[in-house]
Amino acid sequence: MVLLVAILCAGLFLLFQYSFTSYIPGSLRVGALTLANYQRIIDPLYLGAVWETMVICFWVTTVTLVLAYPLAYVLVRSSSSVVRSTILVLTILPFFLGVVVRSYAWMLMLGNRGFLNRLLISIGLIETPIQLLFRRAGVILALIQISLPIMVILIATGLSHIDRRLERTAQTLGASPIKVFRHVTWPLSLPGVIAGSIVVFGWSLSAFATPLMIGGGRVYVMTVMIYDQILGSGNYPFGAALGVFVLVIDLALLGVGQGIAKVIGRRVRQ
Amino acid sequence: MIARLFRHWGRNTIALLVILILLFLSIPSLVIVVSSFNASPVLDFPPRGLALRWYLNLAERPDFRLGFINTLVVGGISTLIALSAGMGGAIAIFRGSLPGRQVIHAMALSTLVLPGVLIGVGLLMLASKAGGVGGFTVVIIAHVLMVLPFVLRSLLVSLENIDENLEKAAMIFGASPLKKFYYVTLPMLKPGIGAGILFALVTSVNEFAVSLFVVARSTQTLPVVLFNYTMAYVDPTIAAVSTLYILATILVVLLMQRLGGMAQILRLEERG
Repeated sequence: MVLLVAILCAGLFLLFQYSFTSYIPGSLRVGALTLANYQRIIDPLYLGAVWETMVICFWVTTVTLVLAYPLAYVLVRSSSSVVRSTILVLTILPFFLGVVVRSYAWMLMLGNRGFLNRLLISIGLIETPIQLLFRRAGVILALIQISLPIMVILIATGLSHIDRRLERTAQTLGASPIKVFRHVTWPLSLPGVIAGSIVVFGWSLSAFATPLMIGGGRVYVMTVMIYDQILGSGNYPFGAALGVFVLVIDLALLGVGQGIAKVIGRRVRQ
Repeated sequence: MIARLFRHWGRNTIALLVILILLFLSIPSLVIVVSSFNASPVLDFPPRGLALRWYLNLAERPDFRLGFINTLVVGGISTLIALSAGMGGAIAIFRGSLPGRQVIHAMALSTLVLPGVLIGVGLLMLASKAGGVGGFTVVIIAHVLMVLPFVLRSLLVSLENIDENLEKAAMIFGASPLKKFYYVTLPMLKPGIGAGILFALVTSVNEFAVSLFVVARSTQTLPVVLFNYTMAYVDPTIAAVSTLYILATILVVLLMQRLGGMAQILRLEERG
């Protein structure tokens, strides 16, 4: 295992090293040391990709949270075991299905003559198909479905660890169900909510197959931008610089997320 | 009276909401299955006529056959390597005094959160330095790195649940360390090993982002073949493969249920 970790570190180190070398067109060999790759990142095209990624991550995390909470709540609290296992199986199944398969499913869903447009037209909500494929909205919709299972699992884990006696006490003291939820259940479930949000945000940031397949090159996020440089143009040095840039953003966001989780965790314990 | 009506209404709304969310989760898979029997090559819903031609196309195309074999080989080997490396690693992390074991533990889990694209690019660069671009070695290393976190987690959970007194008893009765491991520790780790193997296989068979960067034509795994096909053609052959994936996934989930319940594996049991 030490060897495996060493290989991983070596790979990441090379990424770092390549990012400071200059690119010789048409060759995989690299030239002299330079900072030019990093200067090139300050270009509206690449900064635009950062913005695009952030917008997508924000919407995916928010909507996934809103949809996952009720599902997780019923999964943990329903008195019927049939309801619980139905929710569990239907949530787990897509979780174990690969991203390529699920992204392909969304290509079928989102097309102009796909399931979603047909459904919306047949119930009279729209008259002409909405263009969703190759659009940001389509990528967001697909990523929400892909992120839902893990969010449900993490929130459900948090909810199942809540001591039910606290809720019963609040109820006995005359609090309405809404008040019990607002003042007892919701704050105590926050660690799970935060953990889920961090994971989903990180996944959407790393998401690659979905924006590539559903965006079709027209939804330019950070991972697609690296892919273009490495496998498209073969410009390893610049691709590596973009990679290091993404890594720094990723680690910074993870750090912020962990910080928020810690503060909230402390407040819950008090 | 009003409060009760309100509660009743709230209950129904939540039930409806849950059903809608579950539909949102499952409909894409259903659409795939239906489309795989579509007679027309255009992505159209609902399909016009039913046919098995995409399944036949699948059987005839050599790239899918190769991808399928590669996926099985890479998945199997990388699971085995990850399991043996993870076993040593887990015991060292849990009991050992190896310096820097927390850092190694964190690094081994890091592939779970690092963008796959970055790991792929890093390994591609490493392979091009070492002269093994597109070879099975780098593909297998990539997959081992990606499945290691799952194996390690499952093994560590099992290790935490082991009663160390049993191991001490074995030693007092004169068992050698090797015998103690084989007859006492290993059997108690079985649930962890089982869950680890399943998670590792599922992850490897579906791995895409890292693979795309490190495979060559001859070492393509199935998800990469699927991706390349969707970039070139639009017909429902991929729906046919995906349907097979869905079937396999259902089998895995059923297996997990038998292995002691999914709720337990995911640590969902109710407390208090």
